[in-house]
Amino acid sequence: MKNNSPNVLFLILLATTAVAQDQGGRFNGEVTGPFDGLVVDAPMRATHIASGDSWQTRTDDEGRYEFDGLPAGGYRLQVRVHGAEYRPYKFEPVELQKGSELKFDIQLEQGHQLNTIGDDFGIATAQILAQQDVPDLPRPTTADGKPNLAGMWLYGQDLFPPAPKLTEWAAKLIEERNKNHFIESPRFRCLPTSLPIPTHTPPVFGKFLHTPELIVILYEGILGYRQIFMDGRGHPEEPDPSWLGHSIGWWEDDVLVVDTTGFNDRGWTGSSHPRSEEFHVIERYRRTRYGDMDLELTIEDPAVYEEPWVRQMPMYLAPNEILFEFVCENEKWLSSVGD
Amino acid sequence: MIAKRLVLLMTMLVSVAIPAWAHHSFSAVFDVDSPVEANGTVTKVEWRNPHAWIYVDVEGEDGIVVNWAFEIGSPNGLRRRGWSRNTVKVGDVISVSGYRARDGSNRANVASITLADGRQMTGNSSRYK
Repeated sequence: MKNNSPNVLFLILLATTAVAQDQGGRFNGEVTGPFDGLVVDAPMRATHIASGDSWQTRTDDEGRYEFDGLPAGGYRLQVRVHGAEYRPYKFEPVELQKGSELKFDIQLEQGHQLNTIGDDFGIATAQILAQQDVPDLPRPTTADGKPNLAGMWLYGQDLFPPAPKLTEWAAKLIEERNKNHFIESPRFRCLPTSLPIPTHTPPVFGKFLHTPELIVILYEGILGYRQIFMDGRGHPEEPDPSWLGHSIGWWEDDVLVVDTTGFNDRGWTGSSHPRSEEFHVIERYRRTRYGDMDLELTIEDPAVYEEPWVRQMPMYLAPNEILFEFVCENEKWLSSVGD
Repeated sequence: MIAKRLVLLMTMLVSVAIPAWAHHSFSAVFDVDSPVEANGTVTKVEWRNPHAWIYVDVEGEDGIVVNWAFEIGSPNGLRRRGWSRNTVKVGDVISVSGYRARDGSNRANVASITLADGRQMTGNSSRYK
C-alpha cells in the first residue's frame, strides 16, 4: 500500500492570518507548465497586498487551484514548485472585487537551472515516494513507550517557508555569494553541507538508528553520520568547532528534541547562508504515523538572523531504499569554474 | 566510429537562480546562454559521484570530430530513477541537449537524452501528466 504519494488528490486551504468572510471573493484557475502539461501539487500563495494577510493552497490532480473567502483588494499570486523544473512565478496586482469570482490561469516557465538529468530535488523526491510500499499503521514504539524513529527517511521540503530575517551583514554576504555563483561554497570542495540534512545530491535520505541512549543518523554525504546523545549529557564546555556540531537529544512527550551547538563558522546553510560559531539548531521530530514524521527546524545565529528561523519539513518513510556509498570526486567540474 | 553533428544554439536567456540541492552551482559551471544539442557515439562512461559523465565523439558542422564530456546526475540518484551504469554504453549512439561549460571547453550538462534504444529522458519528464 502506498500512502504517501505526492499526487493524491487534495486541496488544502489554509488561512494563515485571516478568516473567511461572508461575502468573500474567490480566485481559481489552472496551473500549466511551459509545454501546457498540468502542474499538480504546486504550492501557491495569495497575499492581500494592503494587509499582508496570506492564504496558501496546492494544485490538485488536475492542476486546478482555488482560493475562497478572500476580502476584496489587490493580491499577489505566487507559485513556487520545489526543484529546478519551473521558474518561480509571481504576479501582482490581481484585483478582486467584493464577493466576485475571478478565473486566473497561470503558465509556469521552464526553469533553466540544474535541469540536469537526475539532479532535480523535486522530481527525485516524487519518484522515490511513488516507489515505496509503506504499511498504513500507527507509529511504532520502543520498549520504553517512546516513538521509535528507526528507519530510512526521505526529507521533503517546507512548502511554505517563511523568509528568514537576515542581519545586514548576512544579507550583504549572501548577495555577494549569489553574484559569484556560490563558487566558494564548501560543497564545491566536497566538504560537508549543513544541518539538518548534510547531503550533497538528491534525493535526501537520513537513516535513523535508534537506541535509548544514542540515536545515529546516516547520510549519503560528507561526513555520512551524526550522533545524537540521549544519555543526559550536556554540550561540552569548550567544543572544538566542527562541521555538524555536537548534538544532544531528549523527549518532550512524543517529540524528540535535538539541540546542536559547537559548529564551526565555515559551513554554509542551504546554498548561501553564512554561519558563525554561535549557530544553534533545534530539531523537533514527531513521528505521526508509521510512514510519516514531522520535523520542525529552528535555526538561531545572532550574526546571521534577526530572529529564529523556523521551518516545517515533512519526512517520509522510504523502506524500499538503502543507502549507497557516496564518495565525492569533484575535479571534473572544478576545472570549469575558473578563478 | 560514427560521429554526427553538433549544433550550438545561442539565445538570450537571463535568469540566475540557485537550486538548494545541487552538488555544485549550475550557474558557476554551465552557461544558460549557451545551449548545446549534439549526437554522436559514446566513447567512455564515468559512473561516479557526485556526477556521472558521458564522453561522446561529435562531428561538428566543419566535419571535425571532437570528444565532448556530458555531465548527468549522481549515480546514486540515477540508480533510483532506473538507470544503471550500463544504461549508456561505449559504442551507443545517443542524442543529448544541455548547456555548455562557462570556460568554453567541450563540456556540457545533460538536460535531456535520447538513448540508443530510443528511450527519452529529460530532467523535466516526471511531473507532466
